[in-house]
Amino acid sequence: MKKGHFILAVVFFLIAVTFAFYFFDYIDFPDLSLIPSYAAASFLRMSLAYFFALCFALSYGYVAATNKRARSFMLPFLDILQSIPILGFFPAAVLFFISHIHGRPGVEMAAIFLIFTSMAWNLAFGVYESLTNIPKEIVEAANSFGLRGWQRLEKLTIPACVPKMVYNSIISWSAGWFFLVASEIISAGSESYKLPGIGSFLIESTYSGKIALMLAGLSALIIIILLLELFIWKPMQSWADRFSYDYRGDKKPGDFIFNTRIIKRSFHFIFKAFSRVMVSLYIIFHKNKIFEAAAKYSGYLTLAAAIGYILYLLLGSVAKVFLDLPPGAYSIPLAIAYSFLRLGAAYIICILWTIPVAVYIARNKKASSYLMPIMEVTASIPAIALFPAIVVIFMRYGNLELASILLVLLGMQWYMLFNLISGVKSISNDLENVALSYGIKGKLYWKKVILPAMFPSFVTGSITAWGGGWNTLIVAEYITFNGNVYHLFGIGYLLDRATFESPDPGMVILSVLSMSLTIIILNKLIWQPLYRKALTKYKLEV
Amino acid sequence: MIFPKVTISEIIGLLEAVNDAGGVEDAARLAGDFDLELDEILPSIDGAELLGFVEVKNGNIELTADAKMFLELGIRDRKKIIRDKVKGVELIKELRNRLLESDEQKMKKGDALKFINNNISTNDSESYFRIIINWTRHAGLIGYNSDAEEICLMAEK
Amino acid sequence: MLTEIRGVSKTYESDGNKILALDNINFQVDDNDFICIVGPSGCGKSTLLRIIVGLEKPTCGEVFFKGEVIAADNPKVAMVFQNFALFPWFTVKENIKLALEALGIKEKEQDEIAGKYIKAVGLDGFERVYPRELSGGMKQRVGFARALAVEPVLLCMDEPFSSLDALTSQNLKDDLLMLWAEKNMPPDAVIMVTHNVEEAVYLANRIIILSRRPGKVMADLKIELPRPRNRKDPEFYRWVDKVYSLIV
Repeated sequence: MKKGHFILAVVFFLIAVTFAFYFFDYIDFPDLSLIPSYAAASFLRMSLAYFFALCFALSYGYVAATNKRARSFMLPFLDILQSIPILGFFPAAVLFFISHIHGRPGVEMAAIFLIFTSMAWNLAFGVYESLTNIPKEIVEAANSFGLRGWQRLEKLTIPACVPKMVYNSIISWSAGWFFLVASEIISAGSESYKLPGIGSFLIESTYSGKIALMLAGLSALIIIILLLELFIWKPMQSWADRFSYDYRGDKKPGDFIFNTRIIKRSFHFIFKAFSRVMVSLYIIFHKNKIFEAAAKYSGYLTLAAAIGYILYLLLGSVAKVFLDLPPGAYSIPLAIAYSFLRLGAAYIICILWTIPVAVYIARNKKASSYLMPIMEVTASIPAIALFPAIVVIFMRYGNLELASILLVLLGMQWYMLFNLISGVKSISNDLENVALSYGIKGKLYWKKVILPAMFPSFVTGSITAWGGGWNTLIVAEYITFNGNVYHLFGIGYLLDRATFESPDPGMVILSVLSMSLTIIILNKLIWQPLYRKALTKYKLEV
Repeated sequence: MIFPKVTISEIIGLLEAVNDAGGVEDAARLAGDFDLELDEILPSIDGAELLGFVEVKNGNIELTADAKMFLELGIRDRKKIIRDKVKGVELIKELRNRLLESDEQKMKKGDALKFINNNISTNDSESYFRIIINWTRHAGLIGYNSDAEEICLMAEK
Repeated sequence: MLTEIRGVSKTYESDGNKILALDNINFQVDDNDFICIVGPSGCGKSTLLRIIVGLEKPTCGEVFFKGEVIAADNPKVAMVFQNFALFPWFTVKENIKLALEALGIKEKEQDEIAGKYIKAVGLDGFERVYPRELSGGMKQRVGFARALAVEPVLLCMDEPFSSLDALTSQNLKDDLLMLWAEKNMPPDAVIMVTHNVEEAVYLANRIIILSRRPGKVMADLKIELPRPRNRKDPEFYRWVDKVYSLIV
């Protein structure tokens, strides 16, 4: 079945269900009418964050790609930023922004900043990679045509970024939804920090027992995501193909159905307009030497000032913290251990079901054509949106531990599954034939063919799964329900408590630092060595 | 020093081809027969010369007596000849001596690459490393453990 | 008689069209046959080989191996692949032992047999090497060793030399002929698919020529050239000519 058709079917189904609820008096219209405005608020946050992330990515990536000296510290810096658990940022960001801009606007900024961080580093790398991977012949051709300055920017540089940027944007939005809803949920716990949006809508409706309303809100979120997929992302991908350097002519018309001329033309129009703006800015800055110098210096100055200020705050607080350890500090190692165990449990469950299913789907063309669209659609719903529902269900049985593990599992499993599926698919026909003709089957086949072949994708899947897992914990370990706070002892709990209960900047910093440290250690000791091995010993030749 | 970038298999293939032509063949014609470019056939000729299997005179490749005897042998016996021939190659002799002198008769790949750089003027020591290891493995003289990234002397059988 | 190909036809579905790839193929394979199946691209020779080996089922007709319908995992029929098909996470020896393990052979014996065939194809010294470190020629040697190690009665090869450079290919062909000549070495018969006529005349004692699609048997030629064969020999060239004239 075509994915596009499936998506449309789901969208119509959800709308029908919502109206059914309304029709059968399960929801009141006033409540229902809140949905569009809340959804719009959420979408606006996403768009603003994306816009800022795009601007950041283009400038940062461009400088890093063209300035050798700058590159040497810009890339490692970006690397470090990428390994800090994003949701760990959020409480710190809230405190930071609140202290400068009081009240809700401060929290808004924090939320947008959070989404921004989930998108920006990834996009910046995308720009950098695009610019440094322009095939040598094309660069040489451009040089020989004397393509310089703004023309080079317009004809070479900007187009070169498009394919990766489109791909990374799609991924960034996926991740962004998670952090958007997470930030709205987290802040919903505190009366003064509450952000109106889909996240808080889901919390309010669930906790006040209006399940039908919650389902309506969930539907709204799903509908937005799916419509974006149908009308924007898929067509954009096809449009972006023309900018790709290795045109793979075997691309079929695609699963989407709205690849209409109108949409293609609009993308092209927006792209051209955007290009023009960039080019004009470039011309302005380069034509006027003074302007250029001023821009360069002010750019460096602002960057330096920003980094300086943040470092000052950071070091100041870190110093203060270490000179005068907050009492909670001693519980941090234990908290990390608990959180780690939770992640471990979810991870094991994840592996247990994703491996067999991945193998089944990858090897079964028929099953695959039905299941894949369903799974891709399910996977695009941020697990966190189900969080309020999960809380309510497990609250009845008084077992929050299971709830948190389930939530983490939901966050991990799709990464794992899709990675594993592509891993199994990468077993070449030749190797399959060897197994068939030499009678390698059953346990031997699993042990010596399938599992080793899946190893590289298993590692990449695990790395992303754990990354997602740490972030999920920050939401899962601290829950406000009906005015009471329920918590699970762990690092996420410590972090949230230090932000929302009794603001303790020292604790916040220590928690984020220790979480980041744990992640970095795990990466260095476990994931990176495994990844290296996967790249050499287990790499399947194309 | 220049070391030919060619595998042992290619060298033996060349010998067999010249043998088919009666033991002597014009290099150009040989290249034509196998549809090979200059760059593709020269290393094989150089390699065959280095191992004492051919002599090149006036653009003609001529098999030596050693080569003719070699070609009469089966796969297993050929191995012994290859071993003796490769043992005599200057660069490989040097490398073996270095290994004999070292503690566990091992050498890290990095050091091996440095050794290659010192003896062959190149900026691609990696490819030369692969070729040299191909020769020494064929000859059963030096092996390479890619996990540990070190080369080691192989035991005489 | 080892293998009988009886009335084999194969039809494919592509974009809703039915394509006849092979049309009523009939021939037998006997002890000591070294058969090369030649034909232009697209004539279905690889498909035919896959059917003979049991990797694909014919649309009509049957393939009998020693009286029974062929199954893909028949241990008496082994295959060598054009692109080597080695498992990258196993060393040379481990790749070979895997085929033996699949036959239920115990570890110690696996080691001995693998060692024997590694020496037979001249791979000693390369036992613990990974495929990524090997040149194409060496990889194909492993392919041969693996096929021979299961001691098949029939060896099937799908364009085994086409991914190799000319000189290495020459070397490997001569080594193959040496192994073929050895009485104590498996297999009893070989079927090889190639699009290179010279290669076929050099190696085979029997050439089966397939026509353009749909592939039909145009000729079944016995090559009467004494071994060792020499490309430079005018007699050799006459046979090549003869094959070409039958194809074109």
